[in-house]
Amino acid sequence: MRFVACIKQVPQSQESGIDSVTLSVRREGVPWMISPADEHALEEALHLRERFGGEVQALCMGVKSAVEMLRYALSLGVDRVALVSDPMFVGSDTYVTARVLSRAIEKMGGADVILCGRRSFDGETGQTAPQLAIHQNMICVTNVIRVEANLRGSLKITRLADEGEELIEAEPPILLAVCEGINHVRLPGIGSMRRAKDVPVQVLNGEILGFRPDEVGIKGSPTRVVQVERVEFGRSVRVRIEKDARTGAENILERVFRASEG
Amino acid sequence: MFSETAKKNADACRFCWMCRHVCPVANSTGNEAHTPRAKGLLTSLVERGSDYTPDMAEIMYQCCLCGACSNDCVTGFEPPVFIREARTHAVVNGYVPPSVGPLTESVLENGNIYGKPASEKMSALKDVIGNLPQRADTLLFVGDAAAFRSPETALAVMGLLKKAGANYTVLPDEPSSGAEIADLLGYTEDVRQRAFGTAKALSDTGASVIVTLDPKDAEIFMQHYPKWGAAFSERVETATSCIAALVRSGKLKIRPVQNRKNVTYQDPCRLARDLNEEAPARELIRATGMNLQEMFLHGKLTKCCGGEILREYSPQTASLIAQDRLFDAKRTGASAMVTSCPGCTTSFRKCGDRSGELEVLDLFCLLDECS
Ligand SMILES: Cc1cc2nc3c(=O)[nH]c(=O)nc-3n(C[C@@H](O)[C@H](O)[C@H](O)COP(=O)(O)OP(=O)(O)OC[C@H]3O[C@@H](n4cnc5c(N)ncnc54)[C@H](O)[C@@H]3O)c2cc1C
Ligand code: SF4
Repeated sequence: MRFVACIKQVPQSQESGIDSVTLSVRREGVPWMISPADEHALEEALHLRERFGGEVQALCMGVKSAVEMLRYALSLGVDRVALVSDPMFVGSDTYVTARVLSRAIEKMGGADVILCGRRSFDGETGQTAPQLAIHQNMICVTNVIRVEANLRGSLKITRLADEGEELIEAEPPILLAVCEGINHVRLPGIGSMRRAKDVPVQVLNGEILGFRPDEVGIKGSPTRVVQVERVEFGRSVRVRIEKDARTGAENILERVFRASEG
Repeated sequence: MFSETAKKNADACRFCWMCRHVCPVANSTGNEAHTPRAKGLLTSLVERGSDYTPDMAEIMYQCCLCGACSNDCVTGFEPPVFIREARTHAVVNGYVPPSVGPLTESVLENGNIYGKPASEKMSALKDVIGNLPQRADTLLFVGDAAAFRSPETALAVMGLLKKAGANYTVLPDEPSSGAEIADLLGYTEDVRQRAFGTAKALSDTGASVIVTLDPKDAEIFMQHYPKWGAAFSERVETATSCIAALVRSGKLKIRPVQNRKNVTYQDPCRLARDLNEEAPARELIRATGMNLQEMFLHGKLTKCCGGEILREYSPQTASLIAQDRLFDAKRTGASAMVTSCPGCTTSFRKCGDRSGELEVLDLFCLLDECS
């Protein structure tokens, strides 16, 4: 079975900030990490490979330095990796990102199961995975917290819903957008690190993927980020309740009710 | 090559001198390249495009991972993070120094650094283990260092548990915790996989408490297994705190020694620094009636004994480190140094202290005699 994990490189801290000119997340020269949910998506792909056999590929659209992250993915035991990178992709919104990722997956030979994070650590829209599923004509299950495989090849998937959990049985081709904590991520292994040294990182640019510059990046993205605001959380009123815990709690509840009434 | 966390630490450490005076290795060898700062500088050079060479790898093994540098750092940086990763890269690239090579090979083949098959690990203890029940509430985890190098410590702890009427057992084919492997290879998947096997073996015993004799094992069980998903539901307790609790509850009676001495106590690095445990061993020493004199740098500030791993591949450096610490001990006026970690006991006994002025007393053996 062919598993593709989409992993996004994100800044380690939300503090790295938004570029005041482009209004997009600053990515160069800041310490990076794999978007946390994507690390779990990658682990789930490796896990499913252990059960079904096949191949795991990791795919990232990002800046050139994301090669390092893909090398890290190789050291975890991923078979092949590809970096989608081209200045023409800068400023892509989720619509374009999903289109580009989809075409990259075709270029890499297609997928039976695509694994994404439920949302990225920086952009956090959670839109890319469902849009990618549409481009790939796949079933999409989001907020996945458990995947059980049976040998016939079908998957029992548990997902978090608004009220409780949903159990879904489905067969590939399928896209799963997983939650953080679905599994425990592995560490790089000595053997995988040795093997990884000889695996090339394939770089796919716009031309290879057959895009015109006006179809992708800021130009091709229908979304316009007009303004980004920093919201400061401050307390305007501070009340100190110095009584026992019970009276304190009652006092707080009373204030909350009063505030919500008007 | 290095993780972002390692890079961040190395970049902070490479031009900072603040902890160089606490590094037991650099203090003993007098070699500037052995300071935590130099190791940070080398890491950052590699990150900036220099080749990682066998010489650099050699330096990365001149460290006992005692954590004195991290403990000393007021800004919270941790040289062992990049030192461990540098060791992983040494193994991956085939740059492991010739003196360390046999240890890494042994660790990968047998699971221990001592070049012995895993099946021989418990041989010195097998008679006693043979008389223990198969299942019990408490499982004593002996650990590699005690099993291979100081089985008398393990026998003493077993004796104490028996006298206290504890329902305990020991695994006759005890696996390794992975602590030694992690020190030699870094925290890799190989260590994590071993952790899964060990966690399962511990769970299968049905015990509700795991008492660890070696602080290294306690540290990896408590601080790494859970985050790797190799958790077990049993409570982990150090041998020092378990025995102190038995004494406190009156289940274990300690008779004060006839010949009261002035003694000093060596805090094991991982016990004091990583597990924040200082009091139980002191409580036990006082129970024996010995008069405790504290050394310069004790508790969290403790100085390493050289460590049993460094001793296996750099015996001269490890001996210098141990002698340096014995010098601190002598300055207290004590006639004996009490140790509570199998690694420390072996290190001090083997360091070739020529003066013969100072006795090295294993805490558990001492308690066994007093009970
Ligand atoms: C403040 C701000 C507001 C924005 N608002 C919008 C908006 O309203 N509408 C809009 O369409 N775009 C918006 N974007 C744009 C855009 O830059 C997205 O961040 C980007 O397209 C990826 O989407 P995401 O980060 O939300 O990923 P998500 O959709 O949250 O990511 C889900 C999963 O998709 C996969 N994935 C996402 N990106 C990649 C990648 N580059 N490489 C590999 N896998 C990946 C990962 O598995 C990830 O876990 C905004 C950006 C900013 C900074
Ligand atoms: S961990 Fe100990 S031996 Fe290693 S660099 Fe730090 S102080 Fe020196």
